[in-house]
Amino acid sequence: MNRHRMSRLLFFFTLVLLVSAMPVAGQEAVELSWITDLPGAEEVAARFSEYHPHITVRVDKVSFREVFQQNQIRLGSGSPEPDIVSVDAPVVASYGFRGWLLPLDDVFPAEQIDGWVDALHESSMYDGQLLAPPIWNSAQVMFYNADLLEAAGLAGPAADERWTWEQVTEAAQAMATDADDDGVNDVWGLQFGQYNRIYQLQPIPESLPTAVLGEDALTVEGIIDSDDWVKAFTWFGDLHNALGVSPQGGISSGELFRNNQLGLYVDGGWMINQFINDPLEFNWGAAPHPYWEGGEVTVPGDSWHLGVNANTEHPEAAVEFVKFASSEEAGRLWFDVWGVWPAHKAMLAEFAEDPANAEFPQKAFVVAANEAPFVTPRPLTVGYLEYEEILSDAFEDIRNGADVAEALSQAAGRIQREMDKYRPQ
Amino acid sequence: MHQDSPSDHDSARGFRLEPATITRLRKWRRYALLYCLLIALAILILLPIAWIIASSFTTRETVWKNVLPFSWRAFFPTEPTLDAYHAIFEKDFGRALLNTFFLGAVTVVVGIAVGAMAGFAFARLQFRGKNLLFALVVFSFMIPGDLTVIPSFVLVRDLGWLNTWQGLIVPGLANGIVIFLFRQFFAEIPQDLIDAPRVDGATWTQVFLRIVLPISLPAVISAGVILFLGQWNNFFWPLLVAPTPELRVVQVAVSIIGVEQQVSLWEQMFASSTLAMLVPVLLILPFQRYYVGGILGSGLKG
Amino acid sequence: MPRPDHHGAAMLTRVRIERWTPYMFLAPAILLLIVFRYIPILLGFEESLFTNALSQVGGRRFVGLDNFLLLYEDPVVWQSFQVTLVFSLVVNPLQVGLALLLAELINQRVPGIAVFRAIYLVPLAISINVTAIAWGLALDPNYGLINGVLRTLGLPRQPFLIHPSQALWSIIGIISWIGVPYWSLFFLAGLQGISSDVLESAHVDGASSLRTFISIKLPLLRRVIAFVLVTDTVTNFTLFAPVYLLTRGGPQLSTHLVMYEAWRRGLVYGDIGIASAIISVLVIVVIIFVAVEFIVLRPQH
Repeated sequence: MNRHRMSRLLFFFTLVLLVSAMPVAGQEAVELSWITDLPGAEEVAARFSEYHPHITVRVDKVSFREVFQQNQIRLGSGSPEPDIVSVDAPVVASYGFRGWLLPLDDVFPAEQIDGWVDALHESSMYDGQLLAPPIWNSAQVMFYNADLLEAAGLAGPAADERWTWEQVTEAAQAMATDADDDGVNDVWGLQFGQYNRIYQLQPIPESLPTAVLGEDALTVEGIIDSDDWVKAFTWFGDLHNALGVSPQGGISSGELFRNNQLGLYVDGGWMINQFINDPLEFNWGAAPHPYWEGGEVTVPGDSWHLGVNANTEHPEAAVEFVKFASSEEAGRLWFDVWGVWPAHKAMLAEFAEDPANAEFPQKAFVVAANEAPFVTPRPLTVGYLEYEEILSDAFEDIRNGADVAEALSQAAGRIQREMDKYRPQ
Repeated sequence: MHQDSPSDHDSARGFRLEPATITRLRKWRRYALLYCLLIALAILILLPIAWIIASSFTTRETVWKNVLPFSWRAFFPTEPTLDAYHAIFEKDFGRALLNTFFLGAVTVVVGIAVGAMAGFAFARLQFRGKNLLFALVVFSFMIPGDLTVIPSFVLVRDLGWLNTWQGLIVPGLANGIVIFLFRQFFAEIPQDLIDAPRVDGATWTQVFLRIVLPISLPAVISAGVILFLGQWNNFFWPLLVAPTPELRVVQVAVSIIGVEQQVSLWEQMFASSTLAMLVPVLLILPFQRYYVGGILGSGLKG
Repeated sequence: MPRPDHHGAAMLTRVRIERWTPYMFLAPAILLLIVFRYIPILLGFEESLFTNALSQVGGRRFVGLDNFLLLYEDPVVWQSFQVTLVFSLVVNPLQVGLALLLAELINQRVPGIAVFRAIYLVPLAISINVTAIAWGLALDPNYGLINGVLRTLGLPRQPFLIHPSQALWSIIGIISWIGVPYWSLFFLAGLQGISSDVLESAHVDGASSLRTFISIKLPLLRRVIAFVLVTDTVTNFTLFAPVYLLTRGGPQLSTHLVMYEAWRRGLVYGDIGIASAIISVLVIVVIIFVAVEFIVLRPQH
């Protein structure tokens, strides 16, 4: 081995290490960091810097499943980064409880706050303080494959016609077929986009109606193992087992729908743009989110919020960015880049009345916008992370044919153990 | 295998075959069996990978066409295209590849230096506290980094190394298994080779650099492969300490590309996965002979 | 340059300097190990005595052994230790056994064997994320490749990852796909190190291949088997990525490994204290396992 070359190499690498460790010159400029998976984040950050040239927002892209833990490790260990915190609606309380977010009541203009969809405003508060303004609204809709419905002798719902789960079940059964008799449906009747997350499954019990959390926000025993919950999730389990109209396993529902193999598909309005940009090869439409006959209409729809790290070294700049990212201008930008709804009531109304959105597929946007008043936030509890994660285990087990009452009662026990830790001692 | 049992002789006589022919037939039968087994295992190993590679040449519209349900056509895309590859390079996948190459190269060079020096001391030098220090090394690879990821993060943060190259590189430089490999390899070097220059007055450093290292290529390559793969397949640590786009590494890029909010651009994910696995395979294969040799020389052979 | 040392004084200087040489050789490695491995380990143990989730007041608080007490009372934690124990007792001997057989197979001197060795190395170079995507689909209950093959053979469809009685076995299969070829490399090196004289004499004595393997090769491989078994044990005790990516510990906690529970508590629920306590217990269990393996496999001189 050539020693001289090796030592030169070593010298070179050491030099690179030293250079890259040197601080950036020009302390006037502020760099904010933001961990997110949101498409369009770079565009919003760039637009912001046009107004505030001395501030750059560094977008640290991660995948959806990493956003939470990457933020939580940093915030939990008191790091000043990220300056901007991506907060999913239901964890506002959890982060607020831990003191990770800066209260923003005094710095946010009242008219901006009043413009938000009510449920999203509610989700942005913890303990009476505004912690994380909403940037998106993600009302769920029911997509349908009109061709498959027609083949089963059915017509799809009108754009303002809200089917009941009873109707949905019937249609799903009518469409589900296994023509080649290989034990796997060629066409499935119904599936949710996030089939194991409370986010999309919450309306199933809630629409009965029944509670999803105790009034003290720390009780689940007697709630999520109640007869109503068992009834709701017996239906969900049957879809995957006895009725066989919903697929088990981990195949993406969106891909099944795109592949002409799924008749009814409940998912967020964010899918609309994808179905328009990479067009589907069949006739499709969107309808309001289903509910139980005689029950209440509740629609999942709280979405991403942004907060400011309580330990940030640049609070003013970070607040400025959060203000911008939750403004109407940014809302338009999010929509243009990604087709996702802003959190502003006025803008939703404007979109709904826009003549360009009068026909499908664009009309799907109107269907989603009109769901805003029915949006119900997820359970607001400091123990949401535990609640969601353990419930997902139960939902997955129920999909796979486990006994519903047993799965829910086990989940209730596990969640309650975690929740009890938050009780005042 | 080759000795003749009586029953074999009887049947052979019945067919009146020459002993040489019998041996050849046996050899063929053994070969056929062996190759069947080897090929079956190769298929088992390559099948899932082949599907990923094949899918990387599809488009958004066709990527799932032959998978729901799975048919053999999934391995042969009907209209192969490089679109997905173009797309991922537009999303800066090239930078992630380069970053990880650089990380891997520095880690390999410095990590080998650090490991070989320590291995040499443990194998060839006498000093106080040797057993204790060696126990420290062995114990270090009994506790994988996953277990200590949070305190490690806090440590690196307090050093001010977040979003820097050194945060990515330095914590992985000292690798217990690498030190262990070098120590075992160096211990097998004949004493004469080392005594001769020592008698001539060479320092230990000179012995190490001129005598020991040059004959230890297999160990160096084995260590290099371990260190390189460690960096190349690293996902959680780089994401934790250096999430900035400038320092993005290949596994983090794979996890992001194609999995943007609620949408899955599967073909791009498959294209990035393909490159992420082909690079180390192509880099390692030429060294495969040495890799076995490195472990072989490390005294782990019985 | 080697310089001649003829003077006693120079010799003495050299001896004095060389007393420090070993420590200079060791310094970088030992310092790095202490700073980046041992300090975090100790911090982890320390963290297990604190809580950041128990009190409404918030903030980190010393709780002594309370976290361990909570673990002791937690049925899910007990379940995860059970699963891990079963998993370890199966997966380690299985991987070591199969790797030995594979090593014997690729040690055959036949044309083209190098190609097969190279192919078997491929899983080693693939990250766990990609592995999980590939096998997740291959094992899908409806659309998976494996079920397609079973159907072609006229066999019934299997649930694999979604059934409590098959999920852990499926995970074991997937990680063995990576582990067996990897460990077989070490055994291959060991087999190639056995002197041909020894095998020749066995051949002359008329021993069968199987007998030679069991009574001659295996005992000679004792050291490498010990090394592989110990390293494999440590790796598998701390495994959680495939479970995280494929089964979320289910169905019905059947793949809920200890490391996965620790990961959830620490990084999902944000309860670092409990997570550290789980990891501390796990480290002790690993050490006990490794010690037993060392004792069982120690050279009998």
